[in-house]
Amino acid sequence: MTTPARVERDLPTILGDLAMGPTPEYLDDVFAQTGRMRQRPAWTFPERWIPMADITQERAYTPRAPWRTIAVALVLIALIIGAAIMYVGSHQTKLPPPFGPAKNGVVTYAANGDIFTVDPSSKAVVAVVGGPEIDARPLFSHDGTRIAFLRRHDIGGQTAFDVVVTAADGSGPRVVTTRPIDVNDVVQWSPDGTFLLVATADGEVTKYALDGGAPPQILTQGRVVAGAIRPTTGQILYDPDSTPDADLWIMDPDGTGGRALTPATSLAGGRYDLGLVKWSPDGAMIAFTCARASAPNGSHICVMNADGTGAGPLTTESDDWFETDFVWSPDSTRIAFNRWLQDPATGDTTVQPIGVASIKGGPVIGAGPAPAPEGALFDWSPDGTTLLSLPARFSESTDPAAVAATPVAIDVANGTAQETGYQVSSDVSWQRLAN
Amino acid sequence: MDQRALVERARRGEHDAFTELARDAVTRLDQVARLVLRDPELARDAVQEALIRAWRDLPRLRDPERFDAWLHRLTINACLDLVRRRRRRPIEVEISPIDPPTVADASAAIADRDLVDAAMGRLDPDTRAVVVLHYFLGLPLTEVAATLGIPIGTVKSRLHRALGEMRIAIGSEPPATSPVPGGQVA
Repeated sequence: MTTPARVERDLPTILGDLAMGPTPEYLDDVFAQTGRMRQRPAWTFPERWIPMADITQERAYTPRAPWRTIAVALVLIALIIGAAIMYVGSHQTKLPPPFGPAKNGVVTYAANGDIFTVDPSSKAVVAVVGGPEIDARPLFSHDGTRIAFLRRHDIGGQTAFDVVVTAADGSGPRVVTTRPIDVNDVVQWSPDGTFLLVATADGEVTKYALDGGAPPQILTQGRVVAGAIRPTTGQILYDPDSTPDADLWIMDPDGTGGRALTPATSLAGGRYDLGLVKWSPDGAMIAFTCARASAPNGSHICVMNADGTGAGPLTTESDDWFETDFVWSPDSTRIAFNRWLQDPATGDTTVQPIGVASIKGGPVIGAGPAPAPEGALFDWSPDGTTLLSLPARFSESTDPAAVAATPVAIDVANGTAQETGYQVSSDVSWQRLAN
Repeated sequence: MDQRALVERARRGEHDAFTELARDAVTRLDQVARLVLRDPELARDAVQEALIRAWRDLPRLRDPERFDAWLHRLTINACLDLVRRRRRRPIEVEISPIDPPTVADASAAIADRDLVDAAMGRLDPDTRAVVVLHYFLGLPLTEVAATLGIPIGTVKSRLHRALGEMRIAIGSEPPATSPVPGGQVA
């Protein structure tokens, strides 16, 4: 038996041996504390006292004092519309489309618990959100006018986060979420910027409207990953809890019409786990991670049409390659991804430069230097010419004392890399501007 | 009484039911925490924190059938929170020299165990958590991703790297010393 096979075969037994220890005798301490502690009342969890059916269906408005409220609201709306028309008329602000190539703006990032922007050309850094709070993971809206980020607040010694939305200059911060989330939960903007979608690890997918009107809406129970919102229609890809296998489902933006787009078992070829799924920016294709029958523990990237047909591998790399963490180019013609190469003789894997492949086929181009052993965190510039790359392990760091890293700007055309000159301690997000 | 009924009762605030659930789970949780943290004292703190939080937040758990998975997640999160909090302070570590094993047939299993132990020590806690959930608790990768709240691609890359360490450790000798300057985080 080869070493790799032996490792996987014996690991459960060995870990069982390593885990052996004396019977824990500290439960009495636990019970002493829980005996004095009241449970958090169920009513403090909105999902417990608002029936799911009520949350996921159209909101029923209370009829109390409607005319006065409606009259005031109409006056306010008229004032807002009037002010907006005057503002737009005087500023002629041109916004980029929510998807597709755009002009490069500033880059936002977190460092030492604050949010900054940097102009990639002039290197001018601006602190947009400061203060004693620990802020992390900033993300520009698709039109580049707002930033969503996580703000840490500990509850009873437990780390938790709120999602805060500000204008691009950091003004007008507003907490959007109504229940704490984890630093690794998925937060993504809707294409039109009207709502944020938050998917928590306990399988709850919640839509937070940003216009101040509708209450949070729990769309479904299941998994949603970043890139799951179709840019053109707002439809959402998800993996429902109710299906044991990793089938891919799709629902309408309001949470209705959930249906299987494609069951994993119907996909030809190897074992498709659909663990990482992203729409192409033009909404015409879906990329996902897949595993071949010849290498069930491997990982490659597959693409298929928007209706779930025509699934096939992106590259023809051998089973010795391991590909994941992919990002579509803004023009939907290329996919960049992390990759590792395994030495079949020793089983040793080595991280390789970020791979870039055309969806029309052809060789994989290595771009820039090899990143950290865990692969890189990276994103395309809005104009599609550059990959901004940094070590992957920073993605989950919210510790302001974390060691900072210098992002590397990789020219996709020739693969050359250049250090950006500023340091970050979280992933980065690039602002889109109108051309 | 079956676990579902116990969870239902505990959710209604019955301490006896929670006590029974905790007694059933504590050994497994302690093992998970010790594998992730590699420190019995820290593991105890993590499990205590997880169980206290489990009691406090039990009314939040919608599906009693998910109790075990939920408890595993609380435990892993408590472990990783402890690690993150300790990163803010200097960590005293003890570097134990690892003797190359003399692998004879009778002692091969013990040698493998020691080598895997050393390889686990070289992994960061987040990666160890993936290994423990998948290979010790036997969770499928999708469940590991859901438990840790990370993309499955990240789970796979971490597992891939971890297995690489194990293969190097078992397949070649002598094992490399810790690449972490100053030793490995206990």
